[in-house]
Amino acid sequence: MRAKSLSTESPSVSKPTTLPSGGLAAAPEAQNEVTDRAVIGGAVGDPLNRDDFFGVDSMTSVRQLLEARVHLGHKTGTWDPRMKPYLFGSRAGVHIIDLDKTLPHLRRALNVAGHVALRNGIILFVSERSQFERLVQKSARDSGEYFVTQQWVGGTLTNSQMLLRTVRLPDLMIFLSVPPSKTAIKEAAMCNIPSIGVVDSDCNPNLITYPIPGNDDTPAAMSLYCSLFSEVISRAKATRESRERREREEGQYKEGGREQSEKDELASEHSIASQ
Amino acid sequence: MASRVYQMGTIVSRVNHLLQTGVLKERPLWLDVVEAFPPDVFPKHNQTPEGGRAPVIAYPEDELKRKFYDNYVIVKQPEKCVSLFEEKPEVTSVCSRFVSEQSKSLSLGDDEVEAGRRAMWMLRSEGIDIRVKQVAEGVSGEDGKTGAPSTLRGLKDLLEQMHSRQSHTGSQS
Repeated sequence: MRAKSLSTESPSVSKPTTLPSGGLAAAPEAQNEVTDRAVIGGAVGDPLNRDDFFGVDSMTSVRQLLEARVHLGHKTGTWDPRMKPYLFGSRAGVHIIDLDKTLPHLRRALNVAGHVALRNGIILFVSERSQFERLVQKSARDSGEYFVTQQWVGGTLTNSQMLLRTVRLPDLMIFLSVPPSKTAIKEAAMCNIPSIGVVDSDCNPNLITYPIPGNDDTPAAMSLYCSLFSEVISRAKATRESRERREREEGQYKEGGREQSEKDELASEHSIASQ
Repeated sequence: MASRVYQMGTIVSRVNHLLQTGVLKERPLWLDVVEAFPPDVFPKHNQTPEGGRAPVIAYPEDELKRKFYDNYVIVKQPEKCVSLFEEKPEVTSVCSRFVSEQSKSLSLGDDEVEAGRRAMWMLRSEGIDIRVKQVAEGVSGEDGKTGAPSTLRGLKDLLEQMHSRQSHTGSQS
């Protein structure tokens, strides 16, 4: 019953079993062959080789982060010492997060999210904070991905066979705030799923693959992160769609050519016969 | 699935090994992406903190600003909004204007009080009404000895006066 709190938004995905090691099992190959070739081995070459395929650099700037209050941490007494490398300092008893460090972390995370989406990966937004439930749900829906915004049920990933029946695990998890989701973060690490997480000055960045040091309390900051991720994922999907369409059109053109010549032959035969 | 395997290595190293040994049949989607955009530092579950505290951000103007509010009164705030996001804003707060004028005088060799008065008259001439705070009797003001802030010093003096009065009455009775 509790498993229903997980929302699965997309049309049905193929559901192979998960392996005991928690890794991904083989997906049916035919489904992905043409589309992967279109996306990865297209005329332009592998998007991964391009430095800023999704234009992330122009989407983000330190000024934008400052105006969204991303630099505002918590009171110094509540800090997690593991965040020290990401802090600029403390002012009036409040920690200030170093935006010069936040920016490259954010850009890297956005690139990862974009490329995973481009490869048709499943991205799961996790935020157990009721304050931002609607925001996270909307961003996930806008980008066509998944979310968990109620309490994370322990075992969702590690015991997915029981809780969700046999499913394909996410390829990327995005934690909009880290502290409430300790179990989810640990499960992602156990299931070998890369994670992106917004870490505030009082957070433990230890098990997050791509931490983004930044404010996780202000609505302005949260809506910035959500809109950025949603935008990048949408761009990735649009790219994917246009490439698939191009591949299909190329395929049809070749087929259409053959069909046309066959029709001509039949017509000529007919005309000869009628004489 | 209570295992501590996730504490060893990185997800990339673990998944590569699983592929190598054949446990994992298909290369996960994200592996190429993470290898192309590796994090600066892969997370370690037992990462020890760097040690030490984050540096305190302090400017020399902070002390001057505190003293401004202790020793001067803004009779009427100019009706302008100060933007906190501009680097060189058109409109600055009265306090920061005062302090910048005061710093100019200080660098020319005035002492703090004199520089403060100069700044006050400068701002008055521009129409910003600032007055020196009138201090109560028995409480030492800006011109008192440096060391304890003026308000604390004032309290100390008051208490001393109270004690001396009490001892006086005590000795009389």
